[in-house]
This record gives sequence, structure tokens and C-alpha cells, in this order.
Amino acid sequence: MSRRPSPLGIVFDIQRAALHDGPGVRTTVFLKGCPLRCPWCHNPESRTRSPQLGFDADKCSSCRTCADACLEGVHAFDSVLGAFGQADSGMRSEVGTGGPPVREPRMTPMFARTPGPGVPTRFQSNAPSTFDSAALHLVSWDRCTLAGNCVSSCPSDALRIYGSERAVPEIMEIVRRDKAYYARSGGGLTLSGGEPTSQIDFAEALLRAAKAEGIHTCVETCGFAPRASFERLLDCCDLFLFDIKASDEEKHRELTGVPLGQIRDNLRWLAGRGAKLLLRCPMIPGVNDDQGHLRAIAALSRELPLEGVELLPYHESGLAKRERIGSRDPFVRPAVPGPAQIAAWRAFLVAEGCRGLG
Amino acid sequence: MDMRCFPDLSLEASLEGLPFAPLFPDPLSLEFAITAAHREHEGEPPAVRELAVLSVQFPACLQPIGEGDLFAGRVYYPLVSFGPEPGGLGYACREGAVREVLKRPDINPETAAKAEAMLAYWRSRTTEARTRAAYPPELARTLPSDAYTSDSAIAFPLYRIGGTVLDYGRLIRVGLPGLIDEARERELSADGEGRTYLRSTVGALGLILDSCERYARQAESLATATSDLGRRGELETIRQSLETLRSGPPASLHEAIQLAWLYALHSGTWNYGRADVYLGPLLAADLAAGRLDEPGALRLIEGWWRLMKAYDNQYNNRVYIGGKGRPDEPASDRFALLAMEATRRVRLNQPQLSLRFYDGQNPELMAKALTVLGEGATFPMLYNDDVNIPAVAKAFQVSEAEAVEYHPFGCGEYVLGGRSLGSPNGVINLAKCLEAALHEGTDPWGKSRTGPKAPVLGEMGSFEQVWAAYTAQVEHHVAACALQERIEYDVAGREACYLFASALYADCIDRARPMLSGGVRYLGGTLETYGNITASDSLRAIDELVFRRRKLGLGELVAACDADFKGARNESIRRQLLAVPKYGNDDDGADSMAQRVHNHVCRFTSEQAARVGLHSYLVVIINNWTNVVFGQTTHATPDGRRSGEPLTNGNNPAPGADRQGVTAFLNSLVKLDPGLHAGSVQNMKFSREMFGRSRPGLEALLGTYWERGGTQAMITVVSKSDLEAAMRDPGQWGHLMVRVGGFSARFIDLPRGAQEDVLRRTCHE
Repeated sequence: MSRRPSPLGIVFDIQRAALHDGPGVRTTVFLKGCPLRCPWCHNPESRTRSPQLGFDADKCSSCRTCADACLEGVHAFDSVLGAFGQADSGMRSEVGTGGPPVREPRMTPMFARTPGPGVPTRFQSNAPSTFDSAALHLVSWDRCTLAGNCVSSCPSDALRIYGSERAVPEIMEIVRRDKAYYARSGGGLTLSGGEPTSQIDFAEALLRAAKAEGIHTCVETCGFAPRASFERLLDCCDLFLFDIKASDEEKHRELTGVPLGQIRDNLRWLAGRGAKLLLRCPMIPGVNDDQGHLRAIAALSRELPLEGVELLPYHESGLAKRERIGSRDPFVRPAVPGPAQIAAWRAFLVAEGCRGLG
Repeated sequence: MDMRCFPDLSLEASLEGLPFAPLFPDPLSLEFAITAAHREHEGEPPAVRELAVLSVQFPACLQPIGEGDLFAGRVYYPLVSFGPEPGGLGYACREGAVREVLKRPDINPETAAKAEAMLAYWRSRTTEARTRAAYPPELARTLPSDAYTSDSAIAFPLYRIGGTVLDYGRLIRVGLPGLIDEARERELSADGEGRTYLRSTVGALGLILDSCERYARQAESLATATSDLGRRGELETIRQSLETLRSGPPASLHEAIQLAWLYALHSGTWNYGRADVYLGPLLAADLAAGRLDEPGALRLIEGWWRLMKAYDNQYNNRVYIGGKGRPDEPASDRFALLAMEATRRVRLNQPQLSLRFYDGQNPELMAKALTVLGEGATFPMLYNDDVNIPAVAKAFQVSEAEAVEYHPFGCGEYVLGGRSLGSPNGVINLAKCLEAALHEGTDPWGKSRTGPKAPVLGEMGSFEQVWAAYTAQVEHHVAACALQERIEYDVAGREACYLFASALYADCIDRARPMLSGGVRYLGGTLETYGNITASDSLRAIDELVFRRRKLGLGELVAACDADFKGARNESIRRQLLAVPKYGNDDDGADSMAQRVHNHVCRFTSEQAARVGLHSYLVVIINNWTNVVFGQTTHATPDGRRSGEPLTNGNNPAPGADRQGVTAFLNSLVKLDPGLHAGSVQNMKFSREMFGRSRPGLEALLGTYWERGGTQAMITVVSKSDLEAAMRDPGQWGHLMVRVGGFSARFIDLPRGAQEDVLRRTCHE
């Protein structure tokens, strides 16, 4: 038995007691990095492999501590008065009650999209400030070297770094703490992200470590990876949560940035090799929920021996996260589907003979 | 005849209170009569005096059958009263309330003068005053105040005989006449003291018989007066039950509840025992014979619940269902399910329905409990017999056969029903012990010192020295509280017999001795500890930042706390303190310190029993408002808590401190050994969805928690007001998880729009 070196991985979150990332009670480890760029992504901080700065303007009090702490000039402050000639503190009274002022989230960047590299995002300060009541906090993302001085000095917890280097034993120490819960519920470890296969060495090592301790494993994947990656995971992943985002090659490329063919081939290959697969279908109104795609999902469910099919209705939480990292990735703003829309998708799928819709 | 209902013991209620039949119509006349009875029997045996007082107090303080009541029995405690707890300890006088009455325009000068004389009489004669007078000087210095809700100190006494759980099973089996016969028979072979006690017992029980007759007559006249046929039938049922109870034991569910209820009211106790055990068989018999159907039984239980709410003690009023040691489980289960249904419908904060369970119990009971909780009820509370019974056996040093009769009364303290006393007669603030240890033993608020001097900060060069200073404060005050409990029992026992309660407590009638004079089988006490986790998280922060990583000097840290973290440098220190991992996150460092604090206070406390002559003296770590009250007089603490903010509650982490998810939270909870104390309380909030779609997940989480040693859970559903509070004050709500779309997220991390969406959804559920 060859001894592989224990690889490191860039992990940006670990969630224990996860109930929606596979069966039972699970611990989900989120790996950074993804080859796709779906415009509806609710984890935009997961797309790039490298760690990155995050800033929550809702919490910022314009105290300027970060500007003093940072040696690279990432944080700068400007007065709204100077820029626009009119102060607006962003504070509102509680409507109708005359109650104490309430912070409303009026955090909006000055531009709908940050226009290109090098231009900082301007955030209008939100919190009641002791310094001046109308400050602009400018963040020059590209200058950040991840030193983290601003993070540790911020008195309002407004700054953080997404992603850090972790080793397998460190992660397993956390994962194994909930073994009793996994045993009782059929739960275990789930790898998610980002795209776990984008850090295939680390992903495989982590899964094997879990299996060695008798822990059930899941991998959430978009399916876009070399065949060899899935070959490596085949015997250490108990259940693949496999995403399918569009069924038309051209549309797929336009939306996600990558070809569909490779994904579909991997899916069929895994099914052919007896892998357990749960098909997960993000449903983005007006973007990918056309009848053709739904029909294709139904067809796949009949063609392949799947564990089931799950719809993932669009939700908006990704939008605020984009602002927090100064994301320049493309995005869409569809309507959030209500129960009626979801029921309509389900009815259509059932009518098209979809099997195992959960 | 006045038919008003008197819902609570508040000042308003007592000022409005009117007697049942107009025996004492003039203001304060009942109080004068009780005082006269007490005075006239001064020097006589306590049993005789107590009976004389009770003979005046009951039936005068009993209130008429209220509109819609399905059982007879409402009570109002006069401002001078006798009882174990409701009006105060033993003989009690509520001076403040009396003075309020004296302000009324209808008080004539004669009454006012009489009242002043009465107040002067009682000032040195209440059982509480006599207890305080009996403290040796050293004790009085350590426990200088009785006003724990307003003064600043480390520990305070509480004056009551709390947590009495009568042997209702025996009462229902033999009935009132049967109990009287038992006392009479034992009297024949008793010694002089015993005969006096038992004769008074018979007299007291006779008062209950009289109450039955009075209520029966009232029910009859109300029935005649009403044209509502349904109501007439209900009143007739009350009358018939009361008649039966005067001559024999109860033979139906209605009779049994009526008897238990009246006895409880006369005894001044607030916990109703294992209702499914003593009522289940009668329920089953009624159903089988067609005397009652399930909807009718449910109505009766709901009616009983409403009367408990009228008796009104939100910290007690416990009813127990489920668990091991129930002779007729199927019958008991039927009652238990109806009890939970009654709680589901009668959505009040009382009774505190408590479900005991064990692995292998009828699964319908737990399923019903989770459904009821999922709808937003705050009961039943859940108790795991598989862990609690062995833990109680160990902590109380009794066999498992006796430990089966554990009852979590009040706010969560355990007692052995019908055979042990464990009145929580002291409260201690562990966070303030640490505060004193860091201020040379002195209270920084009042500048006084009730414990030993602690070393100057500069002299404490290691964590173990800080630990030693902390434990010295704890031990000094715990030892004082144990002695105080012994003295309180002794004085209360010299003053009175607590005739009603003693009659249903082992082994009082057998031994012919009242409960506090050698009658009770196990005379134990309990000590309420507060701020346990505030203290342990604080000690952990000191250990980590000052001594291990050398990031801060001890003096600097204490100064920052004293400044309530004001100023940029102190705010930065506070951030460092907050960043040290806290209990509730399955963190070994934080949790091992929590264990160390827990083990120390539990062990030292239990060692006091032998020293003061109690069967047991145990810590309880419970859930009420005292953590808020104590927080108001505790400065900022090294866990990052600000001055005046609440201390931690029960065995729970600091609010919002548990951020690693519910499995990490549960893992932390089960690290604290339950076999060292007499009860703790753990609060858990789950989103409504956990009781619905994700119910298997909830069951797996709870099932694993019980399996790993979880003792107890108070489960509530996340409410709209929780979410609103989290939006206003996110710092305290880091633990709150909600479902958004297809995943769960920490609520405070969601953008505002998503939070408002979750809030809207919660309103509509």
C-alpha cells in the first residue's frame, strides 16, 4: 500500500449538523474553487481557489481602524459630502412609532457592477458612526495580500477572509466528533463548495480518511472534471449529489462557461459503474427552467438508475455575498420562485414521466 | 355570594381578595384572626398552634367555585398566613402589602392601630425572621442580605420549604377518611409528642372534609340557580364527587382529581406528582364502564389545568407523566396522551407538564410531545430516565428503586416524590465569586467583603493561583449556605409541623413525627447556582490569554472589565476575550474548564451534607430569571460579557456563543456529569421546520443526545419575536439557525432582505 503525502486543501467553511446536504445529519466541508461561473451561484466566495477578503458594509461603523491597520492601502475612506454635496447617514427611524433609529441595510455599491480590475468598490457606511455620519468606505480588492490585519482589528466584525489552508487530520478531528449522530441518522461527511473535484487530491484524501473510520460520504459536484477524478472518487464516495444546470450544449456554455458534454459523459459513466447518484437541478426562473430542460431531466431519470431527483429552487442569498467580496462575475436577478411556481415545475416533470422526484 | 376568581398572589389580587363565605368581610379581619389564633396558642406544641391557625385560615381563604370551573377549589392567601411556601415560609406576614391596605379610605383609626400592633407582633415572630435571628454572627456576615433581587452579594438565603411533592398515589388509594384512619391508628401506639402531632393531623385533615362539605353546598346552590343545563350537570358532578370524598376514597377520574386538587390547595404545595400513575387506572375504568369518553376526560384535564393556572405559580405547578416505574403503563399512557393534548389546547404557561421517558417506552408519547412542541407550546419538558435514574441514585445515594421516584420540581430541581425534601434555600452567583477573587475578595459594587481576602493581582502568577482564589470564594459561600439551610429547617421545624404535607410524606405518620422533626425519610437541601458558564468561560479566557499565550496581563484584563470595556484599547481587549472559544461549541479547552467548574462546585456542595447533618445537599443549575437579576449586580466578566448583562442560564452556553451548530452544542452539554447534582436545565430552540419536514433529523439529533448522556431538554420553536430580537441585537443570537430555500443558515449572517423574508414566513406558519 503506497503512502500518499497528506495534501492540504483550501476550505472556506465547515457546517456541522447539516440536514440538507445528503441523508441524515452530516458535516459539510466546503472547498474553495470551481471551474464554472453560474450567474445564480449562492456561494460566489467559492469560485476562486485562493482565499479572499470579505467585507460586510452592514456592520461597518466607519471607524477607519482597518485603514490604519492595513499596510497595502486596501481600505480608504471618503466623505459622501465631498462626492455628492449632500449628507445621508443612512439611518431611519422606526416607522410610526417614533422609536429609536434602526439601521436599514442601504448598503449599495456606487456602480451596478464594479467596472473592471483596479477600481475599488465604494460602500456607503451604514452603521451610526462616531466619526462622521456620511462616510464612503472604499475597498481596493486587488491590493489585498491576505495579511488579515484589518480582520483582527475591526471592532465590528465587518471583515473576514474566506478560505484557509487545512490538513486532512484537522478536518477529520471535527468530522469524527459527530459519529454518533451519523450512526443514528444515516448521516456522514459531505464535500461541497465550490467544486470539490477542483482540489481532487485533498478531496480524495478526506473521503478516504472518512471511509477508513466507517463514515458515510457524499460529494456535491457539478460534474465538470476529468474522468480520472471521478475514477478516484468512485470507491470512496457513497453518494454523489450531481448537479445538472442546463440540457442544451450552447445554453450550458453560455450560462456556466463550460461544455455540457463532459458533464453528461461523467454522469453516465458513474451510473454505469454503479455509483449512487442523486440528481440535483437548480431551477432559475426565466433562465434555465424551460420545458426542454425539464423534459431532459425527466428523460435522464428514466434512463439512468438514480437514487432520485431533487429540485433546487433559486434563492437570493448569493447577491449580498457578491457585494461582500467585490465579485466581478456575471449574475442574474430572476424572481424568487414561490410555492406555485415550484408546484408547476414538479407537475410538469411528473407529467413528463420523471422518476424519483423528491 | 361573591363569585369572582382570584388569579394570583400579586398585590392587586390580595388587595381585592374577598372571603368565600363572608366570614371576614372587614379589611384585614382575617389577618387579625389568624394573628390572634397564633398569639393565643403561644407556648403550646407547634402542632396544636398550627391546627388553630389553619382552622381560621381555611375555609376563610378558599374562594368560590368560579364560572366554568369543573372542580371546586380556588384559594387566596391572606397577608398573614401559614404554609410551607405560598405566603412565605411557615408563619408569614407581608408587611408591604398590609401597608398598602392601610392607605385605603375605608380604614378607620381603630383598624389602623390594630394593624400596626399586628405588624409589630410579627416582625420578630415570622418564621423567616426567626430563621435570620438564629444565624451565628459569622454566617450573618457571609449572607448579609435577604434581598437577592435588589442587593449586590455573592449568595443569599431563600425562605421557603419548596419542592414538596406529596404522595398523591397514597392519597388516591386510601382517600381522606382512610388517611384519617391511618393517623388515628398510629396515634394509639405513639409517644406523647407523636400523639399530639397525629391528633393535630387528624384535625387538619378534618378541615379538608369541612371544605368538601362547604363546596358541595355551594355547588348545589349554584346548580339550583342556573338555567344552563350543561352547567348544572357539571356542578352536580362536583357536588357528587365531594360527597363521595367525605366518606371514602375516589372511585372515578373526577373524584380523584377533585381530591388531589383540594389537598394541594390546603397543603400549600405546587407540584402534583406522577398524575398518569395515580389517575391512569381510574381513567381507564371510567372509559371502560362508559362513564366517561375521551373528549369528556380531556375536558376535565383542561379544566384542572385552568385551575392550576389560577393558583398561579409559573415556577412550579408541575405535572409529571411517563417514565419508568408506572405499574399500569397502558392506562398511564392514555392519561399521558390526553394530558399532552390538553396542554396543546390550553396554551398557558402552566402547568409545567413534564414528560419522563426511557428507551423502549411507548413511542406515541414522544411523538405526541414533539408534535405539541412543534406547534409552539413550551411544554412538555423532556426528562431522560435512562440517564436521570442512575444519576439521581448516585447523587442522592439511594437505590435505583427509590431513584425511580425522582421528580424535577420547580425550575428543575430533583426530589424523590413523597419521601425526600430538597428545598432550594440558597442562591449563589459563581461569576461574582470570580469577580471577588479578582478584587482581593471585595465586591466592586458595594465595596464589602463577605468571603476570604483574595491575593493581590500582582501576586497571582499562574492560572492555578487564580483558580485557588476563585474556589476559596465558592467554598466559603457554599459552606455558609449549607449551614443556613440546616438552620432554616431547624427553625421551621421548631415553629410548625406542616401537617398537610407531612401526612403525605414518608415516613411521618409511621414515625409519628412531622417532616422537619425527624419524620421525613430523606431531609436534603439544594443550592441554586448561577453564572456557572459565565464563570468557566471567563476562567478559560484568563487561562488562555493571560497565562498560556501571554497576550494580556491579569491587571490589564481586570481593569478592562472594571471599565466595562469602554475605550479603544479596552474594546480591543474585549474582542480578544470574545475570540477565545466558548462552551457550547464542542471545544475541548472551553468544555474542560466548564467541567472543572462544574465538578468543583458540585463536589464541594455535596460534601456539606455530612458537615451540617442533612441526607444530601446538592447543586441545582436551573432556569429562571435569577440569572438576569444577578447579572445586574455583576461587573463585566472576562468572557467578554458587559457589566449588568444577564449571566448564563442553567447549563446553557452564553447567548449566541454556540456557533458550531446543534451537534456541537449537544456535545458540550453532555460533558457535564449529571450524577453530581440534583438537576439542571438545558434550553434548545429549533425552527418549526425541524418538527415538520425535517422531523427525522430532529429525532436523530435528540435520540443521539439522549444516548450520549443528555438528561433533559426544554425545547421551544423559534418564534417571530426571536427573529425580531435577533435582528435588533445580533450579538446574542449567533446560535439561531433557520431554513432558507434549500439550506440552513445562521440567521444573523443573512442579508436583511432574507431575514425579513424568514420573519414573514414565520408569521404565517
